[in-house]
Amino acid sequence: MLHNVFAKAIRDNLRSAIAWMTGAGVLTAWLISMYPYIRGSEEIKELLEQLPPEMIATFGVDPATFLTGAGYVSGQMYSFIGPIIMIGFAVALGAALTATEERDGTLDMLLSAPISRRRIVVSRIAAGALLSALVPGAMAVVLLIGNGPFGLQLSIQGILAVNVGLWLLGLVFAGLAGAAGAFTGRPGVARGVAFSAAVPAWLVTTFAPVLEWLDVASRMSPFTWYMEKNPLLDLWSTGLAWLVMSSVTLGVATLWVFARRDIATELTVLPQTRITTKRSRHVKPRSVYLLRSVATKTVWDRRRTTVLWAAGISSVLLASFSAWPALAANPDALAAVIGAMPPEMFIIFGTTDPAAMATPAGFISSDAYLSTGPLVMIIFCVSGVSALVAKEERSGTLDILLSNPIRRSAVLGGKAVGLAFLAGVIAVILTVVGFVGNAVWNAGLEPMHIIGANVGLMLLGIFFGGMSLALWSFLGSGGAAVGITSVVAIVTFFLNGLATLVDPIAPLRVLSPFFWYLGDTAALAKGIEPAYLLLLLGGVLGTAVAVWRVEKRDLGT
Amino acid sequence: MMVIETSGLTKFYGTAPGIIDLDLEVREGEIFGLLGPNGAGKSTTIRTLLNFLLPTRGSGTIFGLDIHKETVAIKRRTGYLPGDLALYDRMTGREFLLYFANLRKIDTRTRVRELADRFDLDLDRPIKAYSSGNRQKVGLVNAFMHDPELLILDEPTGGLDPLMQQEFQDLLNEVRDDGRTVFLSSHILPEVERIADRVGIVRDQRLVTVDSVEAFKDLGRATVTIRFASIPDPSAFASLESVLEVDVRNGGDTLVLSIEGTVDAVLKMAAAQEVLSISTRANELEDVFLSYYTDADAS
Ligand SMILES: Nc1ncnc2c1ncn2[C@@H]1O[C@H](COP(=O)(O)OP(=O)(O)OP(=O)(O)O)[C@@H](O)[C@H]1O
Ligand SMILES: [Mg+2]
Repeated sequence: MLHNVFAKAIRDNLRSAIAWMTGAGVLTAWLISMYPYIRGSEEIKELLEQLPPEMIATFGVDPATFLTGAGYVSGQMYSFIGPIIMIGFAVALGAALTATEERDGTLDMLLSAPISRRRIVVSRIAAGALLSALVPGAMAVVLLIGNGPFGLQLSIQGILAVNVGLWLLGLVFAGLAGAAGAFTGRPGVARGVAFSAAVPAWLVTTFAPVLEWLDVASRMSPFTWYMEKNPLLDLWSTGLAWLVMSSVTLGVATLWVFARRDIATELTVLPQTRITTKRSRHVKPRSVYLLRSVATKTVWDRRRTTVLWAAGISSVLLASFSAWPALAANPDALAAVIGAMPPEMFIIFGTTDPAAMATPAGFISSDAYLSTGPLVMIIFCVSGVSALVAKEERSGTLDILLSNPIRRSAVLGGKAVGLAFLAGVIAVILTVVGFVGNAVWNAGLEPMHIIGANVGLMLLGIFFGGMSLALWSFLGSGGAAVGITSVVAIVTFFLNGLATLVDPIAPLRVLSPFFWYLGDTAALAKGIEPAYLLLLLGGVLGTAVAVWRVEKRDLGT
Repeated sequence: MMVIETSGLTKFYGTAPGIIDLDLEVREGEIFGLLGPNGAGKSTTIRTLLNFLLPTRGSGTIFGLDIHKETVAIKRRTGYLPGDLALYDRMTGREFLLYFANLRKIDTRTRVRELADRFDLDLDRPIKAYSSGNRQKVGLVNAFMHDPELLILDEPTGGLDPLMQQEFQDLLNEVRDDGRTVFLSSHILPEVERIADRVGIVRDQRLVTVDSVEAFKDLGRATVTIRFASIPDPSAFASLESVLEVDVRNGGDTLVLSIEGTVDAVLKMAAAQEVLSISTRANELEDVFLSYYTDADAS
């Protein structure tokens, strides 16, 4: 597997490709196994017919086709979960195109071999395209197998078309990350650019049916190109051609920029026009006060990331607020539809009380505090631990830090405090956004409930951050800590929902942090719950364990 | 034949100079040492030669090939050791070297085994687990394994113990005996003095001077330290024409003389008394080197 750049790229990413592929395949299987509940239901059919179509469009459900296999599969799998998995993996590949190696410093070595920059990029693009095809590939295989047994009645061409579409959607965002990475040489920027383009693009496409003023913007969203027509039915639409064109354009841009860049200089350079990034200048005086202690330096390190992620959740929250008035026009019908659907369908989004979806608190909670929000908050805290602590040990800067007269526990504690503070900053930003949204769109939420929801969200992040910190202190590896924490988060997330359906595991539900956070009431429908204390205790405990453990461990081995 | 030739090669990082107006010639078969203090522009020069950085102006050739346009052809015949060495941590040393051999489309296994033996390097552990000296060895093996016509080495001996430095020096001598060329940077003087045929000194992003090591040595002054059985008269020594400076040490029985030219007169004068010991530190490059720095600092 070390034959050339292409083969090595495959080898380097194969493990994560298999993980993403398995996740996508299992989720697809789970969802289509529930289709038989829907197909037979005359009740749902009647209810759907009563509703204005745009009303439930925001659930990724097309009323006209929802009861068909094609409508169900595209609504449940291909409009939210599928793209998240696809883009998550594709962006990681895009950032690794050149930027990861440039940051690690190994690109110098690679380029000293007789191989052109273009060749390297082209090989890696080929490998990335191939690997990212594994995700829709697995989904396609599951659909092909499940098609008959679950009575989905999908056409083989349609299965092919929708998965090609998903793949192309991934390639667009991989291309964006790749181009941004080739331009800046910084994988963090590459990921940031791609995700901060993906979130608004997704929102625009999702909410365009409800909010007319989004129409123009939604024409330019890759999600619209991908989802506007249902490829399971319409097969090859022009939207797919747009996806091809934009990913090819981004690929060419990547090649062009990368061939002309100074490698590993912290400079973003185009021929003749030289732009110096802020970081290569001296630290600005107004930021210097943040370099006083480990905790404040943590804030300094993550300030941009914090703003970015806060903006991500905020936009989701605002979009939910703004969509509410359209839905509120006929709340009873909405409630009836939701009530008629099988609860398993909602559990995947974390809702154990589907009826609440027809209330403002329940509906607005459903993205920002149930699915997207917790996802983003947990990623923020866990990746923060990995970037601030684990990476510092790996890169050797921890040695320098600890050569100062400061205890290890103080270093770790300082970082934990800094990170918790930033989670708090996100919560404060979201609270403000919540108040604004509440006032502008007349959602009628209680102020204390808005505060409570954000406190809960913050503590959920702190809980998993503390867990990954403790894991890191024992394992000494950031990757392993992040991996285990993610698995725990996913398992306990589903445990919370499934335990309400499956009797044997019902008693275990109280062990899930998602139960402490969500309970059976939407986050925006309750204040600061006593159960949130458990989240806080968990986070503190994890940090305490890490602080204790790190004093007794070899560093950097 | 010139292996490396640059004319007016200049690299600015935004507005900060990296190297300015570099006119450099490295001849075939020589070992050329680029010397300079931290931040002088050595790594910038090397990384520009290898097309990692695009020159702001000026141009350069290696083997007569343009450093920008024909970089792949150049690299086929070149071995490189980065100054800021970074390796793929998750690979073993062997896998790492295999990968780079594959990128060159050649089989280097025999040569790698040979070099690993010489450097006493265990190739079958993950690079993450290597000591910093061992990582450096992996970098060196990678640079040498395909017996390139030109070796470009940025501070090659960092982290190597004296034994390994000796091994490295032997390796360079073999390269020279083969008629191949070495271009290396360093700020460790004795090292360059031992290894290099010619030396270029860079300071403040400019090439100050280029000359052979021997020529530099001739320029230098010698220091003679004489210990007498009885206290000598320093002023007598100071009056000699070849003596620039006299330093009295050790309660007066030891003189440290700074001399230009021959030591003849000093020896003859010293011989008039009982001499317990005499040592000369003659014509070291370091003196020249330091004088280049201090002279330049003064101006
Ligand atoms: N990415 C960069 N951005 C701005 N200036 C830079 C950058 N890299 C190097 N420089 C500047 O260019 C000059 C030359 O640096 P270079 O790394 O070539 O020095 P060097 O001779 O290799 O030093 P050393 O002995 O420390 O390795 C220095 O003044 C340095 O400050
Ligand atoms: Mg250097």
